[in-house]
Amino acid sequence: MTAYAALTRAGYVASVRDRTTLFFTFAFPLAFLVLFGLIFQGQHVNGGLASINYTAPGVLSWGVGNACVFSVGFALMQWRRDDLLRLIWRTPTPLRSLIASRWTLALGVAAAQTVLFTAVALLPFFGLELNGPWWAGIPLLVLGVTAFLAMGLVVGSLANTPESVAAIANLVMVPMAFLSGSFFPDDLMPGWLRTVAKVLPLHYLNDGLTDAMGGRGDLGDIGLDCVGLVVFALIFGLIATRIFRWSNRT
Amino acid sequence: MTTDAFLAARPRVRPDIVLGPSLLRGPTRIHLLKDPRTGRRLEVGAKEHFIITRLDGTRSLAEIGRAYSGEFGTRLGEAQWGQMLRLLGGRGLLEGGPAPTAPTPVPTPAERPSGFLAGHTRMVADAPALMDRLHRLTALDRRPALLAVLTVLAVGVLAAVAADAGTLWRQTVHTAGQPVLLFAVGCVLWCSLALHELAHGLFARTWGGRVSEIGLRWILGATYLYCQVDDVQFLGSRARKVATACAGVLANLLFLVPFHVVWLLLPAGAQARPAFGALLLLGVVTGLANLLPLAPLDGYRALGHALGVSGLAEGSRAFTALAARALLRRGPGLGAYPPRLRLLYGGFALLTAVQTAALLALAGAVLRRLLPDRLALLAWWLPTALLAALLLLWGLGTLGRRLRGRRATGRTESRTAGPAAGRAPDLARSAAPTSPSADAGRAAASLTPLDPARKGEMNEPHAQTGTAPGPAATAEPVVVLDGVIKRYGEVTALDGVSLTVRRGEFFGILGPNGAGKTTLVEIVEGMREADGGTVSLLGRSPWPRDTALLARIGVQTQASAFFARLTAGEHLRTVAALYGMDPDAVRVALERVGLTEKENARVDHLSGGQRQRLAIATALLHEPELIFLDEPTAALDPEARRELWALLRSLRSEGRTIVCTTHHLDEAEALCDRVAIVAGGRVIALDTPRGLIRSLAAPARLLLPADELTPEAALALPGVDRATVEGDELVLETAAVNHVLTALGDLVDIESVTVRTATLEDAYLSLTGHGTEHRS
Repeated sequence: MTAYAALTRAGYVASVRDRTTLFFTFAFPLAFLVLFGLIFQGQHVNGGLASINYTAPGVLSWGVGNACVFSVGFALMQWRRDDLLRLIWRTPTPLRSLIASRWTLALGVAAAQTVLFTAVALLPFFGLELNGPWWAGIPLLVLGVTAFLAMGLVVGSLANTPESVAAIANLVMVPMAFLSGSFFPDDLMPGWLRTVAKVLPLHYLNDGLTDAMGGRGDLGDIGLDCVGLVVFALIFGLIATRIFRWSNRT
Repeated sequence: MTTDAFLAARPRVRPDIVLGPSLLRGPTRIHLLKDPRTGRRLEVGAKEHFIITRLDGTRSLAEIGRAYSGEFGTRLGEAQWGQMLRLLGGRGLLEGGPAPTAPTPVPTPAERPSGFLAGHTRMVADAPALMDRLHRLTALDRRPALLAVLTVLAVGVLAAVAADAGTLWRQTVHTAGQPVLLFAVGCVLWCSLALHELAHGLFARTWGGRVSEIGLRWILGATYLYCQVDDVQFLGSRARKVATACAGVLANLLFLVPFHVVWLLLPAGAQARPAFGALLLLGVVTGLANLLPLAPLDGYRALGHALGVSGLAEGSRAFTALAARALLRRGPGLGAYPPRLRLLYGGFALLTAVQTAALLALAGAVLRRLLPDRLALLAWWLPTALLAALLLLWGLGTLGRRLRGRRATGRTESRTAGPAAGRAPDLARSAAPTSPSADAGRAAASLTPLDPARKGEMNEPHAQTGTAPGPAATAEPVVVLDGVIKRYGEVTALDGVSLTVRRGEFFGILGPNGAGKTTLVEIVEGMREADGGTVSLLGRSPWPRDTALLARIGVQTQASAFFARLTAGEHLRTVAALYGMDPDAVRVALERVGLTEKENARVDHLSGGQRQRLAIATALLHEPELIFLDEPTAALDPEARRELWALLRSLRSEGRTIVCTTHHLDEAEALCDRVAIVAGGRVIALDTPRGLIRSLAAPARLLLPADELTPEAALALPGVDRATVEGDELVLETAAVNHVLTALGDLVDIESVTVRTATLEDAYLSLTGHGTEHRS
């Protein structure tokens, strides 16, 4: 077994055995989806698309981003604290195998979330219809996972305790979720707030997913969102490599 | 021959050796040499060039050596001279030396065999002869005026085409709609490219270059003629080289002159006019495009010649990769590049990026015009996507090759225990026949003899005070520290630590918390860089991270690092995979630490002792020669400690070297062959445990019930140095236990007397300054 495969396996086994995190990864966003789906059932945004066309991609983007940042942030902090990173450092395994395994896991989680949330939203009761180029959501999600994984690496490198991971990640993710239109349609937000949201990575994931799943925009818009996510992935990746530490002791 | 006679010799480099230009390659300056007799070309470094240019038969080796040491700051001894002269002689560069051997089949990178998709064939049987004939016909070197006329003509074509660009563009678009005409234009342009190649060859020949081959290459259905010119670097001035590089474009433009005339003469409505127009425009565009400074176009070559750089694109790529790594704080940084070179290579990288972007945008714009509107988005991004796909494929290919290569060598290398394993590539490189620079570099390096192992040994404090050296004292050193210093800001964690651990030793590092034990171990394993002093681990430097070295050591960590929520077996299997080992090792490791029945227990459910043993199993998994243990029995109950001691003793008996930090002194006394006591970042004592206790000359202590004897009465006994009452016990200190015991036998019940001799703890406490009072 390669180091990459072993790390992926270890991460998979560990996350399957961690029921609490599993619950928060899947059930929590699902609850949001059901809640918002019920509240806004049958309504249309600005007389245009049905509100589920905003809710489903919004909750999905937030769920995926949140899971990425928290899982990677916690794992990195924990591994450094337990000296597991030093153990890996001593083996010939390069850091990229570790990152690649986390990336694979995050993609797996994102895929499972996507299937689950989309399936629920497609139920006749909620009434989502995939009118747009829904397949364009796949590259969006891959890029989104990459960007938020990089963000999680930054969080995990900054924080030294579980509490600070939670604090930093929540501080970043919660306002971002609101500003990026994950919980309510950003088409309803004032113009200046939408401009502010352009500096947030979640905005691009949410925007692109709404275009792709809800059929709001075309491939050109989605392409621009992809570019936005790539830029954020690069920025966070760069920051992460600069502040990465193998050990807490300095 | 004596040294003086040797140094008075005046050897001479063959006068017919052609000294080529000095070029930049990456951050280093290289010099080219050519042996006209064999046609062999050599690349030498600045130092060799310095010597070769001075070996002219008038200067003695001693004189050159002095100049050399003035220039480079290192002395050339007889050995280095011998090596250098043997080298030059072996290459046939010295006069009176052995005749140069026939040109050995130069190990050029093996050309891939020609196939259907790609390949080449020779078109002219005797290319040099053809070029000679052409050169005689044109006699460019004797008629510079002709060149001037030709240049004017070419510029005229350029100006004329530019003036009529609008018309020509319309005609080109018109021709683009007629495949037959377009094909004809393409064929004519193909011939123009053939002339282009000949022009390169002709110019090179004019200034003494050699055209070795003219032929036809094909790749994926596209074919083009080529003209192989050797020795472009030996053409003389930079201007000549630049002119040679630009000659092809000159030929392209001249080729268009007659077509331009025809185009001008044709009546406006003539059917052939658009085709000629397209030919003119496309000819000028392809010609000028060739002048872009983008590898591998002519413009790029001209730029390289003008700047005196060999491999500008490669150098720029290497520089960019290095700069990117430096940005991520990886790699050696840009120290080797002075600002001028950073500007050069960085500037070229930027130039290439800008040109690529511009070309992609241009291609996008052209496609946008050609493709229907509904494919607008596709048209804009298609060229970029194609390039990205190509780069991705190329990257994957490179990665795949590298992985295959690593897999082939990795297995054997990681298992090779000898210190030579990591050095093999070095030797292979310096043995390469192409350049003597590596050999000379080695000669220079050997001028600074430095044997860290020996120095470390001599500086070792308290070297074997009074005790017989342990069985390991003669074995090879495994860890050698010499004057290691480590500072964290204002705090000096290690302040000149020197010690040597030998193979097979159980070496203890004792010290109070914060004494620098952990820092010491981290420096030895290469996790941290020492601020001063030298560190040698198994004969190599552990810094920076050396995975081949790390594969030979095992480290048990303080925090017991396990993969969360895995079982003991799963954890070990994961670690085994990180080392690239097969999972069988897991069973062996579990057996050795006695955890076999806990294989399926989750790591978080193990007891403290089991966790410690699992941590040791993790460190042992890859069968390391040297094991670092960090407080292995911390927080264990007495029974678990004894079990762990038995395990550690068995490891030592297997011949492994063990370095163990602890602050349990009984542990060190029971297990260690030698002990270093570290305090305040210094080694304050280093000896066997018994040696340390003995050197302390601590008094023995006799304890007896306080009600049996008064301190005053006890002090009256001969040999008693001190008598104090501690609780309900009277404590006597003496250096003569037997005398005092005999005397006590007359006064008290001898059965009630307890004798305590000094322990390592006493020695430790007195050495670290914590033991002003003896405790019991």
